[in-house]
Amino acid sequence: MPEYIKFVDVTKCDGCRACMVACKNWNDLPVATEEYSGSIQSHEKVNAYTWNVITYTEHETADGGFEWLFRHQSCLHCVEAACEKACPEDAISHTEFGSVVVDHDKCVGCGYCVQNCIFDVIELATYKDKNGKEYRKAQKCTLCTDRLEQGLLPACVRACHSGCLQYGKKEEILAEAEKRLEKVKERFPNANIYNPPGINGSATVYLLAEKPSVYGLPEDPKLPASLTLWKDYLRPASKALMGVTLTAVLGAVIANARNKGPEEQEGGQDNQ
Amino acid sequence: MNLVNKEYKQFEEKVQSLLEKCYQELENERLVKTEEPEKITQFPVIPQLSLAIDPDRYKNVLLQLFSLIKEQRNELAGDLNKMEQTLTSDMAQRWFQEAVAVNEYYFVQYAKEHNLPEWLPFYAAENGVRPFLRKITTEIASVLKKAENHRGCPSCGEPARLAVINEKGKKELVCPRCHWTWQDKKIKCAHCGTDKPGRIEVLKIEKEEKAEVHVCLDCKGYTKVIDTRSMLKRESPGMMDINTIHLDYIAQENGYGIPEGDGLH
Repeated sequence: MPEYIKFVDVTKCDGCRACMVACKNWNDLPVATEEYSGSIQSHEKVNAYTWNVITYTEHETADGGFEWLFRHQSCLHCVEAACEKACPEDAISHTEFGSVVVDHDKCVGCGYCVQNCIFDVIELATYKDKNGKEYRKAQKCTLCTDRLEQGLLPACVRACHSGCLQYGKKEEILAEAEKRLEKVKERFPNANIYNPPGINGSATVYLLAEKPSVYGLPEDPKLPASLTLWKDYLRPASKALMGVTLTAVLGAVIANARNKGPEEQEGGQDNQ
Repeated sequence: MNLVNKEYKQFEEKVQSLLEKCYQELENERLVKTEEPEKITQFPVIPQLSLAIDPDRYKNVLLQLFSLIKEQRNELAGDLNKMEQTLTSDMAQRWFQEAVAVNEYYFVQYAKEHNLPEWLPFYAAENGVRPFLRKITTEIASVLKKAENHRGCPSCGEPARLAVINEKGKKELVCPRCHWTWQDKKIKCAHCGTDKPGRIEVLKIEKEEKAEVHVCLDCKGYTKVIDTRSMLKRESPGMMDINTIHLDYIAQENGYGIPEGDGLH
């Protein structure tokens, strides 16, 4: 299967928020109201019930003018995902489409993924069971994996009228992104393609009009070494060591039993 | 929503790949013998053409198709072997003509005479003829572009059962047999041509985002309409037709069909 990616050309975004509505609609997400913060932006950032947000950044142009910079903010679906590495329950994984998804049957709501996400795009949603007891599950954009499985485009991409959001074959999209970059450089000299090499790229690639930090994105995100060490080395090693320890204990029990005399084995020692 | 089971879908994908390969192999051939097809003003065009088809080439496509069916449905191997034995060059030539004319009766009789499943000879003959119809259609594209006031495919005469909404939002009728596409008004019956307000109704299916059925209250005809703008990739017309078979059931259960009669091919 060819690799597919989502492309967000922020220079085409007009901030209409149709992607937000389409996401809420398809994923049946509840309203998440926030206090008015003095900004036209609807939410401060993505949350457990709002999986994508159009950020409105006020920006001063080189000639002293003003412009809005819009960005469709959602999970980037990192190739090396910190959330996946941090999850102690192996509840987070990559699908065949390159999307990073949470298995809610396995998720225990520990929140390690929330603490470790480089882009701050995963959060815990709170639910109540039939007895009224609260429990939590990690929630975020799924890249509409359920739609992709049916041969449909992600809901946000389908809803985008300006052509800002596209979904297609990785090679074709990246080639198109390079062409587009050349074109927008005239108007936005700092324009760049954001596909961080520190996480081996992502299934959502941006064409940004300004430096990543202007949009609140890390300039050069990297997977924390502690996570790689934990997930790829220490955890498998600890499992292996546990096996060794168990084998040693069982071996000791068996050896101990064999070293005891027949009398001890049949009736035990009589101290009287 | 998709009623087609996974195994059958995979089988049909293999059939479509085979037909695509056969079509590619015909690329450098010239199948239309008629010197000035531009002079043809009646539609469909293909039945009026003089064709240069090598029957052995058609036979070869059929034999490849038989092998594919045998691989997937071993229980049909005996029937397919019988068909192979009777399929001489003369017989292949006859099959080609009858398949182009969609003479299902001929193939049903053939099946009865040879004690075969009724559907099998027609299924094979019809699929085998499709790469040739596609190639012929590309050769007469300039004639077809001028086609007006036709109902059904102007090339092969297949009733207009399938349409897509293309990336520009326009409705294109698509022929799953010869792959000819032609643009039409969004709210217009592809069978009787009516575009009167209120005479075309749209059947929307719950949880089905990419497809709907347009039904005509005048002629009781229907067309499946698939919005390709929602789709990850555009499938071949043959696969689109198969994957939306549930829409045919829904339309037919609601009393709609493919009308026959005056003005239709």
